[in-house]
Amino acid sequence: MLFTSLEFVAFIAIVAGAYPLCPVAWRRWYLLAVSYAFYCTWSVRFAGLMLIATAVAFVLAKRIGTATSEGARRQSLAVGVVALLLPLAAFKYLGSVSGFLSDTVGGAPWLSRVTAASFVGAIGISYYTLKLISYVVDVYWERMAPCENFSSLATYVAFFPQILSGPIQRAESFLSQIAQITPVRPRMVTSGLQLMLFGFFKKLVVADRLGVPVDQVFDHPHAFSGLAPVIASYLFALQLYTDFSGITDIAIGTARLFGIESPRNFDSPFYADTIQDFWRRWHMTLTSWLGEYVFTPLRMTLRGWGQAGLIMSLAINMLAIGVWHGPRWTYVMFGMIHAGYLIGSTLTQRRRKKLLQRQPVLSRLHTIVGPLVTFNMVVASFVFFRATTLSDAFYILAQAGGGLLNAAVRIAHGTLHGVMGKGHLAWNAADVLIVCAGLLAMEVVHLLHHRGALSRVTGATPGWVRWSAYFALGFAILIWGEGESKQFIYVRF
Amino acid sequence: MSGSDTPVKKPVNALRQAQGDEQKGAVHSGTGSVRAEPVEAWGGVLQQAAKARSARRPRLIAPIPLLLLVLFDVGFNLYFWRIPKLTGRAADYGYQVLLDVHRLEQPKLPGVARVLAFGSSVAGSLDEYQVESLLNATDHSATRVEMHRLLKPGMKPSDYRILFASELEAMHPDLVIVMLNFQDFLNASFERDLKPDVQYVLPPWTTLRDRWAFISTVSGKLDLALASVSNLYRYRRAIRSCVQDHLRFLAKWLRSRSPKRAYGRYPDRYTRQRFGLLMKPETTELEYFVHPEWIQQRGQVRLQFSLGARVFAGRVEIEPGWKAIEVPATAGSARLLEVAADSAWSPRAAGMPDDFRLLGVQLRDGSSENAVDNGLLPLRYPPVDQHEISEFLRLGQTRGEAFVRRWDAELAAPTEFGTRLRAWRDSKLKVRDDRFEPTGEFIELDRLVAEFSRRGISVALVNTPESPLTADYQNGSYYRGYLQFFEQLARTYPRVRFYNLLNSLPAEEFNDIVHANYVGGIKLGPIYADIVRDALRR
Repeated sequence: MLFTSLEFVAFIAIVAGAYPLCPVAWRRWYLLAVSYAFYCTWSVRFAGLMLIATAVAFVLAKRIGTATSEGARRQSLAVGVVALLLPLAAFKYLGSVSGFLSDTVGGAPWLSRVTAASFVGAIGISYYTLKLISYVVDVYWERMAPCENFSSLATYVAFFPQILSGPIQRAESFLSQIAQITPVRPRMVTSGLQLMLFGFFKKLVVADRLGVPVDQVFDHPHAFSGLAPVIASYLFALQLYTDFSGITDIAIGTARLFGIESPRNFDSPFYADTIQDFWRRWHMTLTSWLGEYVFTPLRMTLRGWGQAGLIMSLAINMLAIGVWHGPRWTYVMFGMIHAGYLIGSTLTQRRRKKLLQRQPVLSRLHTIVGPLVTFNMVVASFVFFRATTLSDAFYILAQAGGGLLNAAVRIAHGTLHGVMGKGHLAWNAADVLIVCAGLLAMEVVHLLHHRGALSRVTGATPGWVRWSAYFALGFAILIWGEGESKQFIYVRF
Repeated sequence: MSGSDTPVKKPVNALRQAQGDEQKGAVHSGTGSVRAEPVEAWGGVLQQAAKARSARRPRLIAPIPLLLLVLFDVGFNLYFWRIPKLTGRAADYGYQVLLDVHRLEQPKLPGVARVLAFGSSVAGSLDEYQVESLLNATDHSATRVEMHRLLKPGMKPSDYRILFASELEAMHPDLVIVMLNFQDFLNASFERDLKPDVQYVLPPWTTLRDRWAFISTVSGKLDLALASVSNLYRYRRAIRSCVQDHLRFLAKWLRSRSPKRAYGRYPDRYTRQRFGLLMKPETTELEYFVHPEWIQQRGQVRLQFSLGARVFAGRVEIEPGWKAIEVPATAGSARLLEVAADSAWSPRAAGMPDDFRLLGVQLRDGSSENAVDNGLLPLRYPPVDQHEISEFLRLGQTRGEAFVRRWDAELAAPTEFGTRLRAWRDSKLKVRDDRFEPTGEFIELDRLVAEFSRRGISVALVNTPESPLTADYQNGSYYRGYLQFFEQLARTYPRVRFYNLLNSLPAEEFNDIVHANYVGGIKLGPIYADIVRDALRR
């Protein structure tokens, strides 16, 4: 059941409408039941897998909590982490490995069966695996006590608004809310509905429309040259952001209908002035998870190595981010590029800081140039994220470089003829206008929120203006929403 | 990197409780966090707590916006269909069909026979304005005819049966012309998911009931259910087209603040369907020639003359020859005289094979100062005349051997069009020698014809022309069975006639295998008029 399908809207209307009628004491069970019902619309088989993974984490966390020796605690932790990572490896990565073997060594029938069966239906496995690992590790680190109630843990893992693409909420944060379920306040429902509407707008009106030329270029890169690859690369960055933040808004908004607050996942990432800042604002729940459970332990382990230890920790952390998206060389490359960015940035950080302190002009300039440079670096790395193969990515980047050079030369000669190169992007003036208006509306809301002024503004706005805005968004979705909506990009991870 | 910042129950949360959920009411981009506002003094806490209490008091819900939305939705049919469609008939066929259906549901004038032609894209060879004009001009003794056409590419008899199941009652046709083509029956099974493009024009509730078993997804069923209760949802695509067209028109209008100029006249003194002349102040008369072929092709010609925004004369010409009209004198220098005809004529369709233009009248020398055709017509609201013909020739302006060479090149080309052409040709050749079995769409057509017959509506089944360049399959048993099926229908039901126009056009009057180009369409006009006359007489 896609978040953008009418099925989902009907599902939400029924389950959220019935939620207040459910006795408070039963609500945890209610959420568990609807979460599993939602997951079963994708795959019943893999719902069983999720249940087993939850049971394993529950038992091992209990053992960690009750173990008397450090050895036994550590043993349970190791077993837990390995046991939880195994299904992820099997269903997410085995398919690619077997596909690779099948292609290179030759086609044993079982290999192709494994290739075909892998990951199909194991939706959300990357997300709930991280949730469960963090839960077990948190218990081991004594940040929280083991959960006493299996249904609470199962609800945390399967909570349907978050299962498809996060945000990756920590166990303590979720369980504390589920332990004290109270009647949902109307304000929370209103804000949830507002957020859902905004998310649908981002996805259906902006992201899917941006996806049309992006798919054209990235699916057939050799059919394009000139400025088309440049435009497609920038549009993909915007598409990925609107798509992912759209699904996150829908997820957070849906969770609010049940009185659950979820963590934020984005904080205007394209305004980041350094690459470190970008990762503090982009997919925040994943980066914070990796920061806490991968980077920090690594840094502690390798602290004796000095700078080399830092470089190693950063490289492994960013590689993990890349590989988490899937077993493809393009994701590995994406992670490595960002590792390179971060290492370079970290190693030069002090000198740059000093320079900016000494030169106030440069410091002022940095506030403008910094975000621009960072954004362009991110756009270049996203080419690897979106391209089907590494050679496609290199081709697109080469064409983009050549296209920009060609455009500069032609413009210098006073002509625009031939600037676009070969290939025609399937976009018209109406699409450009709609996307620009959509992005503008989005950024106004994001900016207000970033400055903490959104609640003041919405609170002070007369009802008729608010309702006009809701209607405008609703009509935009109805009329300009792409009819055949595409799957959210991050659902496939 | 910040971790989860969702508040866990902490002392500060007691304060948050007191604050109510003011901050949570905000739209946050991808955020679930709650911003804890610093409270500076206990006074502030108390004040906020009081505010929160008052916020919790039950308030009257004012559902005015929702009522307005309901009103907007329920009253949709009262306002939407009055808004003109600004693009030609070929732009958004679905929107055009919806408009045509709405027009068909208006009451019929007394003494007028209503004729409805419908079909897939092949129905494009019938220009309802041309046929209506021919019928009403030449047959003065007979009843007047009101022609309508419903055209939707890919729409098959099963789809039309659903449309008519709920709309026919209000349409009151006296004669229906079913435009058929072999291509529409090649996949003779309606047991398929509805094409979104076709679903868009069908009545949703009837579609849902009729196709329930074949709609594979819950979302597909919900979509139809929702469309059957909300006009805004049902007609969302038409609204989109309408809004986009108007925005585009607005943009053009904002850019077109140019001074008035002459337009629409060719160097050989022929004009386009619409033209404008800068008249000298002393000129008081306009002379123009109505070509005999124009009358032959259209039966009659309506001309409208205006100066500035003021229409000063209207003429209906039923005889060819030179005509004159007096132009009122006005003060000032040169005046722009604008003339609009309700149709144009094609020299090529009249046997002048190298002239592909669509023409209006011919002018005498010296009747204007500086009029030459520059291809640009001034903006008019609504800007597109529904009677205008789209001058589209997919295979260019070639003829004879050159046309055949071009055709072969298109057929072999690795383009989307070439691929489609080859698929059509191959699918026809594939069934060439199969035994004909009337299944799927054939059964649906039978049901449709039976329903028309039951209601006492005359039916003309017309097998539309096909290009002679791909006629190999026509001698096979399947195609013979296909034709016999329609003949059988005509024998089975009263008031049903079958007309086979298969070989009515030469290859160069087609845009592809089955779709006549505009010249072919003009040539077919008199044939269709004869069919209507014949069917009405019976």
